Amino acid sequence: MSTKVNLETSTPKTKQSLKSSNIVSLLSNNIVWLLLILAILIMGIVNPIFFSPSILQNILVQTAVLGVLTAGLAHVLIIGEIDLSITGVLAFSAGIGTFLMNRGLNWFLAIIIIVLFGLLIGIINGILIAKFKAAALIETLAMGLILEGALMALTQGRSIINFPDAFTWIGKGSIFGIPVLPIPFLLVYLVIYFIWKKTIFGRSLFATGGNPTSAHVSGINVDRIKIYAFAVSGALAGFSGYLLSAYMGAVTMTFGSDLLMYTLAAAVIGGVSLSGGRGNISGVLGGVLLLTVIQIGLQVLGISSYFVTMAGGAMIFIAVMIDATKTRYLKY
Amino acid sequence: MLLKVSNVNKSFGSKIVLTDNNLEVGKSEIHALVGMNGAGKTTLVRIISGVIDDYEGDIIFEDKNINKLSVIERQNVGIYVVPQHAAIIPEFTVAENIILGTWPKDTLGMVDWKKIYENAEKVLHDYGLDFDPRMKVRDLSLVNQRKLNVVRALFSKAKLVILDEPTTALSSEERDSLFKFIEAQRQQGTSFILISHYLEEILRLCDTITVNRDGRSYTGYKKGEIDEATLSKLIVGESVKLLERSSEEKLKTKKVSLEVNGVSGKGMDNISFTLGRGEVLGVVGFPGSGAREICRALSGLNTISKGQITLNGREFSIPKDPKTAVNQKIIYVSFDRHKEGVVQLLSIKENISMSILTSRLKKMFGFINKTKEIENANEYFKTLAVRASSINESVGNLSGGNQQKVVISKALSALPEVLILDEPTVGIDIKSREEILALIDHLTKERGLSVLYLTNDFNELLRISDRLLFFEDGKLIVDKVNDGLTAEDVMQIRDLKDLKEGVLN
Repeated sequence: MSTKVNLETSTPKTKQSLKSSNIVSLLSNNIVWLLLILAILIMGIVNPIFFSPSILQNILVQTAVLGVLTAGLAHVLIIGEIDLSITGVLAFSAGIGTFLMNRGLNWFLAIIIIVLFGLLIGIINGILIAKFKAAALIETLAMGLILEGALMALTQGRSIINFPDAFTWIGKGSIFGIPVLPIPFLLVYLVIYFIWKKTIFGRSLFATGGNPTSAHVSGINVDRIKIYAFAVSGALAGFSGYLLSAYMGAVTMTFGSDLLMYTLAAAVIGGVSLSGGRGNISGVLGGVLLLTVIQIGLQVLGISSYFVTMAGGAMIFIAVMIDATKTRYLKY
Repeated sequence: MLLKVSNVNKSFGSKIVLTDNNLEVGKSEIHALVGMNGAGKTTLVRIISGVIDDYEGDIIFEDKNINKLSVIERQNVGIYVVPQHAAIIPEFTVAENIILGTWPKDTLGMVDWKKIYENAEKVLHDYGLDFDPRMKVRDLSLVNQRKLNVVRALFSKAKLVILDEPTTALSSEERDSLFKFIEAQRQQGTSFILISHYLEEILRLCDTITVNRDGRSYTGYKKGEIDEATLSKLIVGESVKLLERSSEEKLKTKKVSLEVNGVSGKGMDNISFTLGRGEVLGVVGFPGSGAREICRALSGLNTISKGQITLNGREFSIPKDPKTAVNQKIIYVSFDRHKEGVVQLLSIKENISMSILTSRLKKMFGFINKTKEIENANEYFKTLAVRASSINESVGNLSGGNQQKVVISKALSALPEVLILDEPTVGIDIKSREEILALIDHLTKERGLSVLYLTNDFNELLRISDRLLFFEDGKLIVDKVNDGLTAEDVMQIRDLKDLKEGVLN
């Protein structure tokens, strides 16, 4: 809106708007954490059970799989591409690993195979997209469908169960009463923090996402960075497949298939731009925690399970709208 | 009075961009808006066009206050901006671009293609243009694309057309042809605001001049009342000393740095030349002549199919991508700063580091040497006098000239032996331009840097170059020492074999 302002009053007005715009930008950059605190507070006030340590622990446990999956996906989003195959990778790599394990493969080798299979699919995706210029949206969608279908073919509709304790320890075990599962999840975020902030690969990732042509002209091997990004995404999808199978103690036919939209939403709410070049890992962490808190919160508040999906969708909707408004506001 | 800008103020956060700006444009007037990068020209244009709507002051158009009108509403009353990066759709035909948004329909409510092409043909004819409305816009020459942009504006019944740097990357003939076209439209009653860094063309074409400096406007200078020296002093706020490269240095170069032998490839036919250590070699030629092609090929952006290259005595393996060229100490600064220069989202520091991540800044386990990174970025930040609060400021916030300084800093950080500059001063103000030229002069003398310099601004080219290469049809046709050549000489040599028709539009 254009407002006609008397010149005499204009100077103080400018100063004031400066102050408030600084606060707004500070708030909006951490919007996901604010929403998270707000969500926990509201749910805690409505039902004090929410503040109990066991629920808070439960939040971390339940976030782990989504968290690791989203951390991988964020790499691909930052280079301005997308990876829809991750839930397929998660499902099939866990399926093939546990399938072989139940036929006598050592549990540790099974874990290695699960992660390596994810890595392999990631590299294939990367090569097809970077070198053969396949459209990421369709290529990864197809890859995801192939893998989900492959899991069905492998299991013939039955669940794979009966895993050794050593295999499921990471998902079900605890040290000094604290569950193990959040540890690998938080470690992944710590490592990625350093990779993004301090390494050549991290910097190249953001340069490639921000302007691939510029990065190329400056001597950055853009194709290789893209392949690496998909490789990280695939490997972490495999790893989260292992975590989920260890936590559930089974690999079902539709294993992890409901995670895809949540992982995309978590990344975007966490401030990762779908057009590439923008994002930080603490935001992603906030994003996955927020989504989990909402889901658990709705259950704790006793909202009928028939409404949970809808309420979850509505919350994602609100968070994304807040994010979009922030982007618009900060344009100038 | 057609347009009156009255006491406009604007600040972004803490930064005051415009203070009490005034200007008036009459009917059938060509009004120049000049100033350094960051002086507030673009902001003022965005306020006039309504892109920025939270400003203080008044915009009066045809005696009506239009403060409350949106961008679209202002277009409807007749204010139309033709931006630097043309707002046309290259994959559409000329006709489709002209009628964009106002498709005529036939009786069945379908788009009436026959009518579109008929209309377009008539429109083009009315404005004195003779290209085919069925042509795809991407096949038009740059100057015709710019003209098409103006036609689009006029077709939308624009009374005031704002042209932002319309002559960027045009040859001098194309520039003249564009000006003739603008002059003709002015005689039909359209007014123009022209933003440009080329003072000579402004003094030739414009009726009145407004200078923006540090966010203030100095307006009302009439044609003939002001000369180039006064104007440039007014723009910068002090007299600018133009760089004069001393001529003794020019002839002293004996040691060969780069030797190109029989290089062929797309658009290049058996090109051979040498570049001395510390020499600045000017490159001249029309688009497609091989001038830009050889520059990009040497830096790994175009492919070379045949030929040998030696650099300072060692074999230079044909670069397959920019990375292999940079590793062998040849680096390229592109004419297209937005697409091939900066990463807007990254900071100044991070942009400067991009060329040396895997070389000078590499630490163990793939970590970046942060101390060295800051040291290097600060060095160029100071040497090139980049105007920003610190090296951590995002490049997207900088004005064009300062962005270009960042791109040049990035190239120099790689410690190149050969620096290839492709239109390095496009859209840059006089002061920044002279700073960049002075730095190149200095580095060639002190560090023995060799430079290939490509620009269509022949005055600038002649001031910095020791020797000139002329290209045509992919061949090197003339190799001439710059011993007091004039811009006219350059054009004459370039056009020697070029009197065939059809080369110029």
